[in-house]
Amino acid sequence: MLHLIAATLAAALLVAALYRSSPKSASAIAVAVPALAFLWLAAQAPAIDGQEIIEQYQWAPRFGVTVAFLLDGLSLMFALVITGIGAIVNAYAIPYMRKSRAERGRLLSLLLVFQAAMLGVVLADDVLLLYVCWELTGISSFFLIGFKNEAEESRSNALQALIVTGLGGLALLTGFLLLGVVANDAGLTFAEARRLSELKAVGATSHELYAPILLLVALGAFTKSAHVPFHFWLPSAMVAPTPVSAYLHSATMVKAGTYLLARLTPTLGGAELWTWLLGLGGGVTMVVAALMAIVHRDLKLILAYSTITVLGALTMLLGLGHPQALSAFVLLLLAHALYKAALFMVAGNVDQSTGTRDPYRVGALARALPGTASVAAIAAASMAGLPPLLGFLGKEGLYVAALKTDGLAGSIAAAAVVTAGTLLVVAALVVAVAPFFRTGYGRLEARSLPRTLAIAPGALALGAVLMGVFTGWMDDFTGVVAKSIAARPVSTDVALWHGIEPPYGLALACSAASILVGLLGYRKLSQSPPRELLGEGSALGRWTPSFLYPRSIDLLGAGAEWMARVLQNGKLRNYLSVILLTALAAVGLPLCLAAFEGIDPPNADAYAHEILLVVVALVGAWKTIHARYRLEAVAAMGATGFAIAFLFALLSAPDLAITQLIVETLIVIIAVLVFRRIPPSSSRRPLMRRRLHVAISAAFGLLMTVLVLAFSRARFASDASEFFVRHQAGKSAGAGNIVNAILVEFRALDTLGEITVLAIAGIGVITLLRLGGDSSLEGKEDG
Amino acid sequence: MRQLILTTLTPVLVALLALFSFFMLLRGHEEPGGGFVGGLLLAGAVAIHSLAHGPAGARKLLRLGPETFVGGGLLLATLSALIGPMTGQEFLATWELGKIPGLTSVGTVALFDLGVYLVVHGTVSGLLIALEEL
Repeated sequence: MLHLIAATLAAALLVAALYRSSPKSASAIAVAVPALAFLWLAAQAPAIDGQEIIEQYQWAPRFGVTVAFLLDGLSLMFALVITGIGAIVNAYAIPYMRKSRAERGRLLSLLLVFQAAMLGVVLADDVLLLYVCWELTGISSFFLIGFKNEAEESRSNALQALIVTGLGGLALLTGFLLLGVVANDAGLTFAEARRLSELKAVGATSHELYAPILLLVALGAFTKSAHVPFHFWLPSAMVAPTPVSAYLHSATMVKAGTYLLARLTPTLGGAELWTWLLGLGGGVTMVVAALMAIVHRDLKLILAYSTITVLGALTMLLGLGHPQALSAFVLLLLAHALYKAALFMVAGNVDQSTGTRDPYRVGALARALPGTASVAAIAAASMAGLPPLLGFLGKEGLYVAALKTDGLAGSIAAAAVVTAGTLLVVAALVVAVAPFFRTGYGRLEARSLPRTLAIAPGALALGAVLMGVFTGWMDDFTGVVAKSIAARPVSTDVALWHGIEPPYGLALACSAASILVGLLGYRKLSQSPPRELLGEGSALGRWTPSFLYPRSIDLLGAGAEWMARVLQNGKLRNYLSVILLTALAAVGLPLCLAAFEGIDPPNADAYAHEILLVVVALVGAWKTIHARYRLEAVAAMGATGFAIAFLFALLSAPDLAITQLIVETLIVIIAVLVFRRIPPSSSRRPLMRRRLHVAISAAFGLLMTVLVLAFSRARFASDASEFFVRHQAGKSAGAGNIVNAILVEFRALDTLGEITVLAIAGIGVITLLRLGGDSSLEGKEDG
Repeated sequence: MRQLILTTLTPVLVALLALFSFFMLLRGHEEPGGGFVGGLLLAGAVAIHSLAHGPAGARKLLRLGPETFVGGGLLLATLSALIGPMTGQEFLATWELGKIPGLTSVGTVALFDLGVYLVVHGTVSGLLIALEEL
């Protein structure tokens, strides 16, 4: 399986390299590689029944990190969809982007990169590999959504999608890590705890961390699969070129969240929270999105919202979890992938032909675009659930699953499903029937398109027909997939006709009713086309998530600006005050509150000359504060420094003493050089301010004193000093300079880092001084 | 008049300080001293010279720009750390060539210390000269 991903990536690189010099071979590669992958996967199908194929490669054997892939029914189905529809979408993109070879090459290459990442998601057995590929799909979709990168809207919508799904991805990662904790508790090793195939038997549902895990994982899945209230990025993503919408936003990327939930069904499923979270989340999404689908006047937006509807339905089915629900899941997923991709391509053709995507402004396109029209008819029929198409199997499966659930959950599900189903019929009619077969409306000029543009969607429509007709084969396939989702044998019963005993009869009746009501609804709509109910100006529009998102981004920016203005106000003494106060609060408060062992009173007997030096230091400090002139203050500070240096020398710290002496001297010199350039007498700062500064400094000094005394009291079990002394004897001739030895031998790496930092800081300061020059220093008060 | 005293004394002071700083560097292995103090002392020498002869004079004294010392010192320190891997040992392994009796050992340690010396000197001298040229 690794070879599939690698081959797809290689194809992406080849296409990127070749599309300028030989566009034909680039296009051929772009279609052939996914097609071959599809065939390889299809060949694995017989081997999958009942077992999984696992492939693993050692990545870092010492840590037990392996790259592991898993192929079972569920991943096979997804992989087939990804590669199959991938090949067809690439084939569509070739004539669709016939106007610009460069753009076409770029699009094909990016699509292949995305395809590789998506394959990684569905084939991964290791949760971290899954997460990495998950994020890779997000990143490649960023580039695909923002493909027309000259347009501001494309860029900001791409960013929006990235941020929303990225935040969900973080939640997902957290959920996975917690799941690893659960696995560890159940006795799995580090290497095993990350394998999805091992996680099934871990018993996560009864663990205390179950609820947070489920919520986090669901957050990741719901953002990726555009569930309410995180759905708003998907309609915005319709700024992408049509092939991108057909591939990512109908068949693959948005199904990643659904795949994740299906994959985790044996691990996290079966509990009440699972049923209600997925059931309600999916159900609400389904109904809300279906309502939103019919109020828009853009083909792609209608298709986007109806995609969200079906995604919600799929999630709800996973929530319900019983065998009918799982088989309905498979059927609905496949049906939707086929008809939605086809309808997106139809929308693209309409757009290229007439220049608009408003279904209420075009009509009778069937004459100009016969191929597209027939495909549209079939795909819409599949969407509306007409036999003998795959969409009929899917829709009926959905109804049956809802009706077969008992209790309150079942009733809610049934109501939601019927509502959404009806609305979907309306949407299907608006998308397919209105533009092509309706007459009597102001028509726009319809250009005819190359016939090749109808081939790709035609293939998809054909698939929908074939899979609907060959139900025996579908039954087997559905059984395999459902079994791998549920991790136990599942009996499925896929057929075009089940007889009329409940719930099948009821389902058929509901289905028929939804089609009839849908027709009526469509009639009403086409007579009075909708205005934009949820546009920017309307009252309702102010609360939609798509409106709140840019507002929150703006708020974030404004908040950051405010904080920078307050904290970075350019005055050095303010920075210093903030730092000292923070240190006081962070260290001092816990020190006061915590029970530490008390401080030993410092040793009070000292030599007379030591006391004299302390007095000199104190006098110097006092003079520094009260000096009238700056040089006076600097000199006083120097006196304090020298006194301390002598103290160091007296207390047997000669290195410190020498360093302190020379540093003090240099500081005096530097201060003199700096003060040369500042007006001679400083404006006296208000008394209160100076007292405040003194207070802060004194408090900080007190803190340091207390800390030193507390540390000397506390006994650290540190054998570092013994270690150094012991090894020092071996390093040089006995009594060497142990301080320096620590600096340049034992802890040389630290020193290397320190001088690097010193070098960087020094060069930085020198550069700033060079750039500053005369202009910046004149007229500024001391800072 | 005052300038005359300064310019007369400066060569002596600078020479003494420079010698002393180098002595501190070599001595650091056995006695108090080392690369950091040595670098600071050399920068002090440069400071005295620049007080008498101005920043241009200080630059003439150094011949190479202060930034060169910084970069060169860092390079030297890193190279001495890399001698270890080049001879098959770990990074920063010490390797001794011999000893100058009573003073220091010659080897990677001394090289590293020299690197530190040059970096500290370059930084502080550069700072002082830049402040004067401001």
